[in-house]
Amino acid sequence: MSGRRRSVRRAALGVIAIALFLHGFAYLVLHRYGDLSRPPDQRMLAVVTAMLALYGSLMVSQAMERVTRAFYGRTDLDLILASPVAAWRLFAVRIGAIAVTIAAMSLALAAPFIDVLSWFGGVRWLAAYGVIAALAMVGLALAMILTVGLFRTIGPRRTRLCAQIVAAIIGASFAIGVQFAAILSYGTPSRVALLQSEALTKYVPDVGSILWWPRAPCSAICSRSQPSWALVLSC
Amino acid sequence: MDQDVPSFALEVRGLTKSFEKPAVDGLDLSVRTGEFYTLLGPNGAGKTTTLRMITGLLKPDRGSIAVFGIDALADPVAAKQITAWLSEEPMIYDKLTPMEYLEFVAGLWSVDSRLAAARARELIGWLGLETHANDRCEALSRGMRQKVALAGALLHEPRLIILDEPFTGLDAGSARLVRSVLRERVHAGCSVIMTTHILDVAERMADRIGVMVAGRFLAEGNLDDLRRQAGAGDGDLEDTFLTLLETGAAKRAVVA
Repeated sequence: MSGRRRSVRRAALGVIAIALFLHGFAYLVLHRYGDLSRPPDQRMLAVVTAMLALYGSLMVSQAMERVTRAFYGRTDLDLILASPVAAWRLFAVRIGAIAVTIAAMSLALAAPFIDVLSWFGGVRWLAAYGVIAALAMVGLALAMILTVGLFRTIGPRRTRLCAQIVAAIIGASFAIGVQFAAILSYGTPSRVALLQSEALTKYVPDVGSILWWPRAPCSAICSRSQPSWALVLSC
Repeated sequence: MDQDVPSFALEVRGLTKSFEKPAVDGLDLSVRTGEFYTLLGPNGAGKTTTLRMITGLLKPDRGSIAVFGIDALADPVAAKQITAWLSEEPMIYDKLTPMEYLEFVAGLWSVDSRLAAARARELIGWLGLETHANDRCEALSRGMRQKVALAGALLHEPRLIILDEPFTGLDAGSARLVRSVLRERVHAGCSVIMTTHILDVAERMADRIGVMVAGRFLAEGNLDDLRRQAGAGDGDLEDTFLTLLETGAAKRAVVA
Protein backbone atom coordinates (compact mmCIF):
# COMPACT_ATOMS: atom_id res chain seq x y z
CA MET A 1 0.00 0.00 0.00
CA SER A 2 1.43 3.40 -0.97
CA GLY A 3 2.13 6.04 1.71
CA ARG A 4 -0.53 8.34 0.29
CA ARG A 5 -3.19 5.66 0.34
CA ARG A 6 -2.25 4.71 3.87
CA SER A 7 -2.60 8.31 5.08
CA VAL A 8 -5.98 8.65 3.33
CA ARG A 9 -7.14 5.46 5.03
CA ARG A 10 -5.93 6.70 8.40
CA ALA A 11 -7.72 10.02 7.91
CA ALA A 12 -10.93 8.21 6.94
CA LEU A 13 -10.71 5.96 10.03
CA GLY A 14 -10.10 9.06 12.17
CA VAL A 15 -13.20 10.77 10.77
CA ILE A 16 -15.32 7.66 11.35
CA ALA A 17 -14.02 7.35 14.94
CA ILE A 18 -14.80 11.02 15.67
CA ALA A 19 -18.26 10.69 14.10
CA LEU A 20 -19.00 7.59 16.22
CA PHE A 21 -17.78 9.34 19.36
CA LEU A 22 -19.94 12.42 18.67
CA HIS A 23 -22.98 10.25 17.96
CA GLY A 24 -22.37 8.37 21.23
CA PHE A 25 -22.09 11.67 23.07
CA ALA A 26 -25.30 12.92 21.46
CA TYR A 27 -27.06 9.72 22.51
CA LEU A 28 -25.89 10.14 26.12
CA VAL A 29 -27.18 13.72 26.15
CA LEU A 30 -30.51 13.02 24.48
CA HIS A 31 -31.61 9.58 25.70
CA ARG A 32 -32.71 10.92 29.11
CA TYR A 33 -35.37 13.11 27.53
CA GLY A 34 -37.69 10.14 27.01
CA ASP A 35 -39.99 9.82 24.03
CA LEU A 36 -38.65 12.16 21.36
CA SER A 37 -41.34 11.16 18.88
CA ARG A 38 -44.14 12.66 20.94
CA PRO A 39 -45.82 15.82 19.62
CA PRO A 40 -43.81 18.82 20.78
CA ASP A 41 -44.95 20.48 23.99
CA GLN A 42 -44.01 23.92 25.33
CA ARG A 43 -40.84 22.65 27.00
CA MET A 44 -39.55 20.89 23.92
CA LEU A 45 -40.27 23.95 21.78
CA ALA A 46 -38.50 26.20 24.29
CA VAL A 47 -35.40 23.97 24.34
CA VAL A 48 -35.26 23.63 20.53
CA THR A 49 -35.76 27.39 20.08
CA ALA A 50 -33.06 28.18 22.64
CA MET A 51 -30.63 25.77 20.98
CA LEU A 52 -31.32 27.34 17.58
CA ALA A 53 -30.79 30.81 19.08
CA LEU A 54 -27.50 29.60 20.56
CA TYR A 55 -26.44 28.19 17.20
CA GLY A 56 -27.62 31.33 15.43
CA SER A 57 -25.60 33.63 17.71
CA LEU A 58 -22.49 31.54 17.20
CA MET A 59 -23.04 31.65 13.44
CA VAL A 60 -23.44 35.44 13.47
CA SER A 61 -20.26 35.71 15.50
CA GLN A 62 -18.31 33.48 13.09
CA ALA A 63 -19.79 35.22 10.06
CA MET A 64 -18.88 38.70 11.34
CA GLU A 65 -15.27 37.68 11.77
CA ARG A 66 -15.15 36.22 8.26
CA VAL A 67 -17.05 39.08 6.61
CA THR A 68 -14.63 41.57 8.18
CA ARG A 69 -11.70 39.65 6.76
CA ALA A 70 -13.29 39.18 3.33
CA PHE A 71 -14.53 42.76 2.94
CA TYR A 72 -11.99 44.87 4.78
CA GLY A 73 -8.75 42.87 4.89
CA ARG A 74 -6.28 44.10 2.30
CA THR A 75 -5.09 40.58 1.39
CA ASP A 76 -5.67 40.06 -2.33
CA LEU A 77 -8.47 42.59 -2.73
CA ASP A 78 -6.11 45.16 -4.28
CA LEU A 79 -5.04 42.72 -6.96
CA ILE A 80 -8.53 41.58 -7.85
CA LEU A 81 -10.32 44.92 -7.53
CA ALA A 82 -7.68 46.60 -9.71
CA SER A 83 -8.54 44.10 -12.45
CA PRO A 84 -11.54 44.36 -14.78
CA VAL A 85 -13.35 41.62 -12.85
CA ALA A 86 -16.67 42.99 -11.55
CA ALA A 87 -16.49 43.61 -7.80
CA TRP A 88 -19.97 42.16 -7.22
CA ARG A 89 -18.80 38.83 -8.63
CA LEU A 90 -15.85 38.68 -6.30
CA PHE A 91 -17.96 39.49 -3.27
CA ALA A 92 -20.77 37.16 -4.33
CA VAL A 93 -18.30 34.27 -4.52
CA ARG A 94 -16.73 35.19 -1.17
CA ILE A 95 -20.12 35.60 0.55
CA GLY A 96 -21.20 32.24 -0.88
CA ALA A 97 -18.01 30.62 0.41
CA ILE A 98 -18.57 32.10 3.88
CA ALA A 99 -22.17 30.81 3.90
CA VAL A 100 -21.06 27.32 2.90
CA THR A 101 -18.25 27.27 5.49
CA ILE A 102 -20.49 28.43 8.32
CA ALA A 103 -23.29 26.05 7.40
CA ALA A 104 -20.82 23.16 7.07
CA MET A 105 -19.21 23.88 10.45
CA SER A 106 -22.58 24.15 12.17
CA LEU A 107 -23.92 21.04 10.49
CA ALA A 108 -20.82 19.06 11.43
CA LEU A 109 -21.45 19.88 15.09
CA ALA A 110 -25.22 19.46 14.95
CA ALA A 111 -25.35 16.36 12.74
CA PRO A 112 -24.81 13.78 15.53
CA PHE A 113 -27.65 15.30 17.56
CA ILE A 114 -29.96 15.49 14.54
CA ASP A 115 -29.16 11.89 13.59
CA VAL A 116 -29.85 10.61 17.11
CA LEU A 117 -33.03 12.69 17.33
CA SER A 118 -34.30 11.34 14.01
CA TRP A 119 -33.35 7.76 14.95
CA PHE A 120 -35.30 7.87 18.20
CA GLY A 121 -37.80 10.63 17.50
CA GLY A 122 -38.79 10.14 13.89
CA VAL A 123 -37.88 11.48 10.49
CA ARG A 124 -39.31 14.96 11.24
CA TRP A 125 -36.09 15.78 13.10
CA LEU A 126 -34.17 15.57 9.82
CA ALA A 127 -35.78 18.91 8.98
CA ALA A 128 -33.20 20.37 11.36
CA TYR A 129 -30.58 20.03 8.60
CA GLY A 130 -32.57 22.44 6.44
CA VAL A 131 -33.27 24.71 9.38
CA ILE A 132 -29.58 24.99 10.26
CA ALA A 133 -28.61 25.68 6.62
CA ALA A 134 -31.27 28.42 6.50
CA LEU A 135 -30.06 29.74 9.85
CA ALA A 136 -26.54 30.02 8.42
CA MET A 137 -27.84 32.22 5.59
CA VAL A 138 -29.81 34.40 8.01
CA GLY A 139 -26.80 34.61 10.33
CA LEU A 140 -24.57 35.66 7.46
CA ALA A 141 -27.04 38.30 6.28
CA LEU A 142 -27.25 39.69 9.82
CA ALA A 143 -23.46 39.66 10.15
CA MET A 144 -23.12 41.59 6.90
CA ILE A 145 -25.64 44.20 8.03
CA LEU A 146 -23.83 44.57 11.37
CA THR A 147 -20.36 44.75 9.82
CA VAL A 148 -21.30 47.21 7.07
CA GLY A 149 -23.21 49.24 9.68
CA LEU A 150 -20.09 49.37 11.86
CA PHE A 151 -18.01 50.42 8.84
CA ARG A 152 -20.38 53.27 8.03
CA THR A 153 -20.66 54.38 11.65
CA ILE A 154 -17.13 54.18 12.98
CA GLY A 155 -15.07 54.08 9.81
CA PRO A 156 -12.71 51.55 8.29
CA ARG A 157 -9.91 51.76 10.85
CA ARG A 158 -11.90 50.70 13.87
CA THR A 159 -14.31 48.34 12.13
CA ARG A 160 -12.12 45.27 12.31
CA LEU A 161 -11.39 45.48 16.03
CA CYS A 162 -14.96 46.47 16.84
CA ALA A 163 -16.42 43.69 14.70
CA GLN A 164 -14.29 41.15 16.52
CA ILE A 165 -15.41 42.47 19.90
CA VAL A 166 -19.08 42.58 18.86
CA ALA A 167 -18.76 39.06 17.43
CA ALA A 168 -17.30 37.78 20.69
CA ILE A 169 -20.06 39.47 22.71
CA ILE A 170 -22.80 38.09 20.47
CA GLY A 171 -21.24 34.62 20.49
CA ALA A 172 -20.78 34.45 24.22
CA SER A 173 -23.61 36.52 25.66
CA PHE A 174 -26.48 34.13 24.95
CA ALA A 175 -24.70 30.99 26.12
CA ILE A 176 -23.22 32.61 29.21
CA GLY A 177 -26.40 34.58 29.96
CA VAL A 178 -28.60 31.47 30.05
CA GLN A 179 -26.03 29.58 32.09
CA PHE A 180 -25.71 32.49 34.52
CA ALA A 181 -29.49 32.62 34.96
CA ALA A 182 -29.56 28.83 35.54
CA ILE A 183 -26.89 29.04 38.24
CA LEU A 184 -28.61 31.94 40.00
CA SER A 185 -32.08 30.36 39.85
CA TYR A 186 -31.39 26.67 40.30
CA GLY A 187 -27.80 26.36 41.46
CA THR A 188 -26.99 24.22 38.39
CA PRO A 189 -24.91 25.14 35.33
CA SER A 190 -27.35 23.20 33.10
CA ARG A 191 -29.00 25.52 30.60
CA VAL A 192 -31.59 22.85 29.75
CA ALA A 193 -32.73 22.73 33.39
CA LEU A 194 -33.57 26.41 33.20
CA LEU A 195 -35.23 26.12 29.79
CA GLN A 196 -37.46 23.29 31.06
CA SER A 197 -38.30 24.85 34.39
CA GLU A 198 -41.86 25.67 35.43
CA ALA A 199 -40.86 29.29 36.01
CA LEU A 200 -39.82 29.74 32.37
CA THR A 201 -42.51 27.53 30.87
CA LYS A 202 -45.27 29.78 32.13
CA TYR A 203 -43.87 32.58 29.93
CA VAL A 204 -43.50 30.33 26.87
CA PRO A 205 -46.34 30.78 24.35
CA ASP A 206 -48.90 28.03 24.11
CA VAL A 207 -48.25 25.21 21.60
CA GLY A 208 -51.00 26.54 19.35
CA SER A 209 -49.52 30.05 19.23
CA ILE A 210 -48.73 31.65 15.87
CA LEU A 211 -45.21 32.23 17.18
CA TRP A 212 -44.51 28.52 16.73
CA TRP A 213 -45.58 28.55 13.10
CA PRO A 214 -42.06 27.81 11.82
CA ARG A 215 -42.31 24.32 13.36
CA ALA A 216 -45.39 23.55 11.26
CA PRO A 217 -43.47 22.37 8.19
CA CYS A 218 -41.30 20.14 10.34
CA SER A 219 -44.37 18.55 11.84
CA ALA A 220 -45.86 18.22 8.38
CA ILE A 221 -42.91 16.07 7.38
CA CYS A 222 -44.12 13.59 9.93
CA SER A 223 -47.38 13.34 8.05
CA ARG A 224 -45.39 12.90 4.78
CA SER A 225 -46.67 16.13 3.26
CA GLN A 226 -44.70 16.72 0.06
CA PRO A 227 -44.35 20.52 0.05
CA SER A 228 -43.13 20.45 3.62
CA TRP A 229 -39.42 20.32 2.72
CA ALA A 230 -39.77 23.45 0.65
CA LEU A 231 -41.46 25.11 3.60
CA VAL A 232 -38.67 24.02 5.92
CA LEU A 233 -36.07 25.58 3.66
CA SER A 234 -38.09 28.76 3.23
CA CYS A 235 -38.25 29.14 7.02
CA MET B 1 2.61 59.82 -33.13
CA ASP B 2 -0.53 57.92 -34.16
CA GLN B 3 -3.45 60.36 -34.45
CA ASP B 4 -5.83 57.91 -32.70
CA VAL B 5 -3.68 57.77 -29.59
CA PRO B 6 -4.77 60.42 -27.07
CA SER B 7 -1.93 62.75 -26.13
CA PHE B 8 -2.67 62.22 -22.46
CA ALA B 9 -2.51 58.80 -20.85
CA LEU B 10 -4.01 60.21 -17.67
CA GLU B 11 -5.98 63.34 -16.96
CA VAL B 12 -7.09 64.03 -13.42
CA ARG B 13 -9.14 67.13 -12.63
CA GLY B 14 -10.16 68.46 -9.21
CA LEU B 15 -9.56 65.12 -7.50
CA THR B 16 -10.61 65.28 -3.87
CA LYS B 17 -10.73 62.68 -1.12
CA SER B 18 -11.14 63.15 2.60
CA PHE B 19 -10.94 60.63 5.39
CA GLU B 20 -10.87 62.27 8.78
CA LYS B 21 -9.12 65.24 7.13
CA PRO B 22 -8.49 66.02 3.44
CA ALA B 23 -6.05 63.52 1.93
CA VAL B 24 -6.20 64.78 -1.65
CA ASP B 25 -7.40 68.31 -2.19
CA GLY B 26 -8.58 69.32 -5.66
CA LEU B 27 -5.61 67.78 -7.49
CA ASP B 28 -5.07 68.37 -11.24
CA LEU B 29 -2.62 65.97 -12.86
CA SER B 30 -1.81 65.05 -16.45
CA VAL B 31 0.52 62.31 -17.68
CA ARG B 32 1.37 62.31 -21.37
CA THR B 33 1.42 59.21 -23.53
CA GLY B 34 4.85 57.60 -23.32
CA GLU B 35 5.83 59.68 -20.30
CA PHE B 36 7.48 58.53 -17.07
CA TYR B 37 5.93 60.58 -14.26
CA THR B 38 7.01 60.45 -10.63
CA LEU B 39 5.06 61.63 -7.61
CA LEU B 40 7.19 62.73 -4.68
CA GLY B 41 6.21 63.94 -1.27
CA PRO B 42 6.63 63.32 2.43
CA ASN B 43 4.63 60.59 4.19
CA GLY B 44 0.93 61.46 4.31
CA ALA B 45 1.14 63.80 1.30
CA GLY B 46 -1.68 61.92 -0.47
CA LYS B 47 0.41 60.13 -3.12
CA THR B 48 -0.88 56.63 -2.49
CA THR B 49 -4.46 57.84 -2.06
CA THR B 50 -4.20 59.57 -5.44
CA LEU B 51 -2.91 56.42 -7.12
CA ARG B 52 -5.55 54.23 -5.45
CA MET B 53 -8.28 56.53 -6.78
CA ILE B 54 -6.81 56.42 -10.29
CA THR B 55 -6.69 52.62 -10.08
CA GLY B 56 -10.32 52.43 -9.01
CA LEU B 57 -9.61 51.09 -5.52
CA LEU B 58 -10.93 54.22 -3.82
CA LYS B 59 -13.88 56.34 -4.80
CA PRO B 60 -13.08 60.05 -4.97
CA ASP B 61 -15.33 62.52 -3.17
CA ARG B 62 -15.08 64.84 -6.19
CA GLY B 63 -13.23 65.20 -9.45
CA SER B 64 -12.72 63.31 -12.69
CA ILE B 65 -10.22 60.73 -13.93
CA ALA B 66 -9.66 59.89 -17.59
CA VAL B 67 -7.35 57.06 -18.69
CA PHE B 68 -6.51 57.37 -22.40
CA GLY B 69 -9.74 59.31 -22.79
CA ILE B 70 -11.85 56.74 -20.92
CA ASP B 71 -13.81 58.15 -17.99
CA ALA B 72 -12.48 55.86 -15.26
CA LEU B 73 -15.31 56.70 -12.87
CA ALA B 74 -18.09 56.07 -15.40
CA ASP B 75 -16.49 53.03 -17.06
CA PRO B 76 -14.00 51.55 -14.59
CA VAL B 77 -13.85 48.16 -16.32
CA ALA B 78 -12.62 49.68 -19.59
CA ALA B 79 -10.07 51.79 -17.74
CA LYS B 80 -8.82 48.84 -15.70
CA GLN B 81 -8.42 46.77 -18.86
CA ILE B 82 -5.51 49.00 -19.93
CA THR B 83 -4.12 49.84 -16.51
CA ALA B 84 -1.68 48.03 -14.24
CA TRP B 85 -1.38 48.56 -10.49
CA LEU B 86 1.49 47.52 -8.29
CA SER B 87 1.20 48.39 -4.62
CA GLU B 88 4.06 48.87 -2.19
CA GLU B 89 3.46 45.49 -0.60
CA PRO B 90 1.85 43.45 -3.34
CA MET B 91 0.00 40.35 -2.32
CA ILE B 92 0.96 37.16 -4.06
CA TYR B 93 -0.42 33.78 -3.12
CA ASP B 94 2.16 31.85 -1.10
CA LYS B 95 1.05 28.43 -2.24
CA LEU B 96 1.27 29.22 -5.95
CA THR B 97 4.41 29.16 -8.06
CA PRO B 98 5.25 32.33 -10.04
CA MET B 99 3.97 30.66 -13.21
CA GLU B 100 0.69 29.68 -11.51
CA TYR B 101 0.33 33.20 -10.10
CA LEU B 102 0.80 34.70 -13.56
CA GLU B 103 -1.75 32.23 -14.94
CA PHE B 104 -4.23 33.42 -12.28
CA VAL B 105 -3.56 37.08 -13.06
CA ALA B 106 -3.99 36.38 -16.78
CA GLY B 107 -7.42 34.99 -15.95
CA LEU B 108 -8.40 38.21 -14.18
CA TRP B 109 -7.62 40.20 -17.34
CA SER B 110 -9.07 37.51 -19.64
CA VAL B 111 -5.77 37.08 -21.48
CA ASP B 112 -5.81 34.03 -23.76
CA SER B 113 -4.10 31.19 -21.87
CA ARG B 114 -1.55 30.34 -24.60
CA LEU B 115 -0.62 33.99 -25.09
CA ALA B 116 -0.45 34.43 -21.31
CA ALA B 117 1.90 31.45 -20.92
CA ALA B 118 4.24 32.86 -23.59
CA ARG B 119 4.23 36.33 -22.02
CA ALA B 120 4.70 34.86 -18.55
CA ARG B 121 7.80 32.96 -19.72
CA GLU B 122 9.13 36.11 -21.36
CA LEU B 123 8.58 38.26 -18.24
CA ILE B 124 10.01 35.59 -15.94
CA GLY B 125 13.10 35.60 -18.19
CA TRP B 126 13.38 39.41 -18.24
CA LEU B 127 13.14 39.60 -14.49
CA GLY B 128 15.67 36.82 -13.91
CA LEU B 129 13.24 34.47 -12.20
CA GLU B 130 13.76 31.41 -14.43
CA THR B 131 15.31 29.29 -11.70
CA HIS B 132 12.38 30.02 -9.37
CA ALA B 133 9.56 29.79 -11.91
CA ASN B 134 8.26 26.59 -10.38
CA ASP B 135 9.06 27.23 -6.71
CA ARG B 136 6.23 28.20 -4.41
CA CYS B 137 6.12 31.96 -3.79
CA GLU B 138 6.39 31.41 -0.02
CA ALA B 139 10.01 30.40 -0.59
CA LEU B 140 10.89 33.60 -2.47
CA SER B 141 12.65 36.61 -1.01
CA ARG B 142 10.88 39.99 -0.80
CA GLY B 143 12.70 41.24 -3.88
CA MET B 144 11.73 38.18 -5.89
CA ARG B 145 8.12 38.48 -4.79
CA GLN B 146 8.18 42.11 -5.90
CA LYS B 147 9.45 41.01 -9.30
CA VAL B 148 6.75 38.33 -9.58
CA ALA B 149 4.15 40.98 -8.77
CA LEU B 150 5.64 43.29 -11.40
CA ALA B 151 5.47 40.47 -13.94
CA GLY B 152 1.80 40.07 -12.99
CA ALA B 153 1.21 43.79 -13.50
CA LEU B 154 2.78 43.74 -16.97
CA LEU B 155 1.23 40.50 -18.18
CA HIS B 156 -1.80 42.03 -19.87
CA GLU B 157 0.39 44.62 -21.62
CA PRO B 158 -1.08 47.68 -19.92
CA ARG B 159 -0.82 51.14 -21.47
CA LEU B 160 -0.77 52.93 -18.13
CA ILE B 161 1.41 51.45 -15.38
CA ILE B 162 0.79 52.74 -11.85
CA LEU B 163 3.43 51.87 -9.27
CA ASP B 164 3.50 52.67 -5.57
CA GLU B 165 7.04 52.49 -4.17
CA PRO B 166 8.15 49.69 -6.52
CA PHE B 167 11.77 49.84 -5.39
CA THR B 168 11.18 49.32 -1.67
CA GLY B 169 13.10 46.28 -0.47
CA LEU B 170 14.86 45.61 -3.76
CA ASP B 171 18.60 45.00 -3.81
CA ALA B 172 20.76 47.01 -6.24
CA GLY B 173 20.72 44.33 -8.95
CA SER B 174 16.97 43.80 -8.78
CA ALA B 175 16.34 47.56 -8.74
CA ARG B 176 18.44 47.98 -11.89
CA LEU B 177 16.54 45.13 -13.56
CA VAL B 178 13.17 46.65 -12.67
CA ARG B 179 14.32 50.07 -13.89
CA SER B 180 15.38 48.62 -17.22
CA VAL B 181 12.06 46.76 -17.63
CA LEU B 182 10.12 49.96 -16.89
CA ARG B 183 12.30 51.98 -19.29
CA GLU B 184 11.69 49.39 -21.99
CA ARG B 185 7.93 49.66 -21.41
CA VAL B 186 8.07 53.45 -21.73
CA HIS B 187 10.07 53.13 -24.96
CA ALA B 188 7.36 50.77 -26.18
CA GLY B 189 4.80 53.58 -25.69
CA CYS B 190 3.46 52.87 -22.20
CA SER B 191 3.04 55.62 -19.65
CA VAL B 192 4.22 55.15 -16.09
CA ILE B 193 3.20 57.00 -12.95
CA MET B 194 5.13 56.06 -9.87
CA THR B 195 5.66 57.16 -6.29
CA THR B 196 9.03 56.74 -4.64
CA HIS B 197 11.10 57.99 -1.74
CA ILE B 198 14.29 57.11 -3.61
CA LEU B 199 15.05 60.50 -5.16
CA ASP B 200 18.00 59.17 -7.13
CA VAL B 201 15.67 56.84 -9.04
CA ALA B 202 13.21 59.67 -9.64
CA GLU B 203 15.95 61.96 -10.92
CA ARG B 204 17.29 59.36 -13.32
CA MET B 205 14.03 57.98 -14.63
CA ALA B 206 11.31 60.62 -14.56
CA ASP B 207 10.42 62.87 -17.47
CA ARG B 208 8.37 64.98 -15.08
CA ILE B 209 8.03 65.06 -11.33
CA GLY B 210 5.17 66.25 -9.15
CA VAL B 211 5.91 67.22 -5.55
CA MET B 212 2.88 66.76 -3.32
CA VAL B 213 2.25 68.09 0.16
CA ALA B 214 -1.05 67.87 2.05
CA GLY B 215 -2.93 66.56 -0.97
CA ARG B 216 -1.83 69.34 -3.37
CA PHE B 217 1.02 70.00 -5.75
CA LEU B 218 3.75 72.13 -4.34
CA ALA B 219 5.64 72.07 -7.65
CA GLU B 220 5.54 70.17 -10.92
CA GLY B 221 7.73 69.79 -13.99
CA ASN B 222 11.12 68.44 -15.01
CA LEU B 223 14.14 68.90 -12.78
CA ASP B 224 14.96 72.33 -14.26
CA ASP B 225 11.38 73.49 -13.66
CA LEU B 226 11.52 72.28 -10.08
CA ARG B 227 14.86 74.02 -9.51
CA ARG B 228 13.37 77.25 -10.83
CA GLN B 229 10.29 76.90 -8.63
CA ALA B 230 12.46 76.15 -5.61
CA GLY B 231 15.03 78.85 -6.43
CA ALA B 232 17.61 76.23 -5.49
CA GLY B 233 20.26 76.85 -8.11
CA ASP B 234 21.91 73.80 -9.69
CA GLY B 235 21.35 71.35 -6.85
CA ASP B 236 20.32 67.75 -7.41
CA LEU B 237 16.76 66.55 -6.93
CA GLU B 238 17.30 65.90 -3.23
CA ASP B 239 18.38 69.52 -2.61
CA THR B 240 15.59 70.85 -4.77
CA PHE B 241 12.99 68.63 -3.11
CA LEU B 242 14.05 69.59 0.42
CA THR B 243 14.13 73.28 -0.48
CA LEU B 244 10.64 73.00 -1.94
CA LEU B 245 9.37 71.34 1.24
CA GLU B 246 10.98 74.00 3.43
CA THR B 247 9.64 76.95 1.43
CA GLY B 248 6.27 75.25 1.18
CA ALA B 249 6.16 74.73 4.94
CA ALA B 250 7.17 78.36 5.52
CA LYS B 251 4.44 79.60 3.16
CA ARG B 252 1.84 77.43 4.91
CA ALA B 253 2.97 78.76 8.29
CA VAL B 254 2.57 82.35 7.04
CA VAL B 255 -0.92 81.58 5.72
CA ALA B 256 -1.87 79.90 9.00
